[in-house]
Amino acid sequence: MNFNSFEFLVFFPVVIILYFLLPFKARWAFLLIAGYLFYMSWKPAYLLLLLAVTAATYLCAIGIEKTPVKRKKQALLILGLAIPLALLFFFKYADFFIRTFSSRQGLLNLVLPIGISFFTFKAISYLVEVYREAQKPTRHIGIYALYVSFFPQLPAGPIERPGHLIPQFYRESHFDYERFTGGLKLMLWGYFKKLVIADNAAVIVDRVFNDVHHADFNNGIFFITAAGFYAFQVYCDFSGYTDMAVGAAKILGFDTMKNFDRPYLSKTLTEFWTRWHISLSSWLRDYLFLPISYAILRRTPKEKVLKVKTETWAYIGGIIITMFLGGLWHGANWTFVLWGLLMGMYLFVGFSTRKLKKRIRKALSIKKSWQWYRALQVFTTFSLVCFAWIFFRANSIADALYIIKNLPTGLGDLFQKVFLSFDFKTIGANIRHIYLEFNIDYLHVIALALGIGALGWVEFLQGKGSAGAWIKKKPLVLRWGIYYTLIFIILYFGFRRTAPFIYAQF
Amino acid sequence: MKTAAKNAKDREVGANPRVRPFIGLKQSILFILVGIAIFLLLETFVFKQTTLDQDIYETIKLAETAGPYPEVIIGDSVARQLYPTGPGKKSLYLTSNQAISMVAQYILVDKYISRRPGQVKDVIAIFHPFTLANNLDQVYTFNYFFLPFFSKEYDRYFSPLVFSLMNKCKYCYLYRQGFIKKFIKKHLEHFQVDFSTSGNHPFGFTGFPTAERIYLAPIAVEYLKKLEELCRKNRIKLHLLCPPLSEKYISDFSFIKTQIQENGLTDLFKDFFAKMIFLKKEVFKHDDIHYKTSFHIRSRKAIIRNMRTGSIEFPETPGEKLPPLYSKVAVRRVIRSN
Repeated sequence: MNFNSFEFLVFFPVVIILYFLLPFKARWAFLLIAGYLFYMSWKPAYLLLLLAVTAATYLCAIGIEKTPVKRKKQALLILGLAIPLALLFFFKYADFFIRTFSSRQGLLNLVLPIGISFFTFKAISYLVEVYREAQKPTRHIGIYALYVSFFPQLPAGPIERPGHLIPQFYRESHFDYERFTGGLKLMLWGYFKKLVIADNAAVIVDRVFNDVHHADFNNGIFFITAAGFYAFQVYCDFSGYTDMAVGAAKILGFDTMKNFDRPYLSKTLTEFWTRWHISLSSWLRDYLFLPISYAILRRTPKEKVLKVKTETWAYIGGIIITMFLGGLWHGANWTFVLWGLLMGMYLFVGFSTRKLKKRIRKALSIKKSWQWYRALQVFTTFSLVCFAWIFFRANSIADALYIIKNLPTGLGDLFQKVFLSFDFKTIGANIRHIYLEFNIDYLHVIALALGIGALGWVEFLQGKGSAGAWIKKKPLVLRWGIYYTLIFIILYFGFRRTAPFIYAQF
Repeated sequence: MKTAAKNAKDREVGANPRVRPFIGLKQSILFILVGIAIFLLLETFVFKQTTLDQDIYETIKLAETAGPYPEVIIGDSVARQLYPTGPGKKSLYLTSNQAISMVAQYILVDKYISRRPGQVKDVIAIFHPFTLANNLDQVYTFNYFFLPFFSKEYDRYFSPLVFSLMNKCKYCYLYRQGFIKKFIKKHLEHFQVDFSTSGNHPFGFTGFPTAERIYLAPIAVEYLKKLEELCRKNRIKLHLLCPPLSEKYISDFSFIKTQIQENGLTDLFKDFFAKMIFLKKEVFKHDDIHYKTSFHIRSRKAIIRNMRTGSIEFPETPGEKLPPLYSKVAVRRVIRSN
């Protein structure tokens, strides 16, 4: 049952009505059952996984709190981490390693349990927080089970922290009209991003990435366009899902963490990672990058190694390992690993050239506040991210390398036709030819273009505060006009069938 | 003073949890009602002809209303590229889409010949091999088969296998009800049940068939036999042809050929393999199934002639030159059936 399925459109209103009709004491149990039913709609047997992860981390957390002996605490932590990680490894990576180190024979062909990467990380986060004594373990197993299986976050997060979500389950909330409509608006915007932008962009992206060797793709512009559209597809798909998840939780009276903050407007890659999939990047920072970096610092007493500061080594070590594992987390494929490593390399280069960039700016008297300089930074960052997305989306490393190799093909000729010969007629004829072969309804192309335009406008408003607040100030006719426009664009130009969310497959 | 008192009262009402659910109720109802009104206006005046599966309703209407023709051509969307749905000079083109399945192809033929008994002499069925793999398990089965055909009106055509495959769709019973179906058809054309996830796949095959996995679906076997029987009873010759395929699908078709033999369909498939020809990949769209728009529009006659004769000379008639873009198109290979 995806958020964009018909079943969810029936399931969710029923949950809302029953939830608010029930007395507060019974609500946690109701939400827990709803979460389990929601999860079982994919494959009922996989509920056992959810239960196993819940039980293992719950018991280990209680054990960690009870025992005063540090060694025992550590042993319980390792046990508590080992169980969910072993399940994650088995279901997600077993075939990957069999394929890598053996032949194709002996593959397990397991169906990936939906959301396993997300609820596993949520449970790990809880356990580590308890171990660090930053979080008191929850005695109420029902509430803890609800934390792990809270249905708006089950398919693809956000990877919530226990300190933020668990206390909310103990707080009584009433139906709040403002909150309710706020949640619905957020869900509506999420549906718009997913069905109108992401799913329509996917038509173009899939054509190119699923058949990179096709004779028609004889110019790098196809690959550049496809990578650019994929940037919007993956963003709108995942942030659209997140808006639906956050909106659904908000309707039920829960605040969940922010997952995106206009990432494509980042000026550096470091900034990008503080704005993209925030719940995962902060998780990786807190539970991988920082512990690894501190460990390197602690174990290296010298100030410099090979004439390079220990701090820099700690950063390099931390970032490369974190991004390698972060890449692998996304999927059991070497393309994801390379994507992670490339991102790690970007971050490392950005970190090690800080002083150089400062010197260049100083020498050229460039001020950071200049608009054109900022725009150039944003464009550069976006281009680098798009380049990395090629690995993320490509079906194989060979495909990714083929695309990269052919990126510059024919661009000089195209440049000459457009900017030197002004041969727009040939360009127009080619675009028309390709458009015809793509076989996409022109109304959908217009909807996609308008959708991306609307996305830009909303992100611009969010930069100035909040798009919701801007709309709220407008007269009723305009406000309703905006909502109706969104609804009807989704109804008429949204993708016609239930396409799964990209991140829900991780 | 009066406003201040009203605000104070509002605050009080808002603070009372029992009253909260009713705040905004009027506004919500009004929003929904205005939304419905806009929806109906749009449906009536703007989007009345954007139906995804419009073509199948045109084909059904044609089968129900067309005049007498000695030759009827049925087929999938590749056939439709060659014979666009409608009345031709000498033949009636009841072409549509592979998603309608062999069941609906049979219904279309029966519908027409039962209206014109004794007038039809030949039925030409043109199917891409992938169409034969349709086991009512396609992405668009809901739009092309379930909505237009799976109703009580056509129950007499359905075998127990059809019912069992359709019943795998969740809420199938609900969607089949007249008023719900009518509402979905009229107002929710974007709505779809994806039958490709319903688990109806024969031989455990999922996803798109490949050259090595071209097979006859059980439903195709059953309804091809029925079609053969229907034509025999009405003294109609049934010809089964394969449109020129992409070189990507060059194979020995051993799996499907064994199936054909096992099911006693060898005679029916004689021309299908004997006249099967392959074209270069460049003349096909990205799906490697349909011809590029520019190609099929300008080379339609040559494609048809070659499909019907199995000729590999392409093109051969003077004055029927291929467009420059495809001047080097050549038939790569012909596989002649044993």
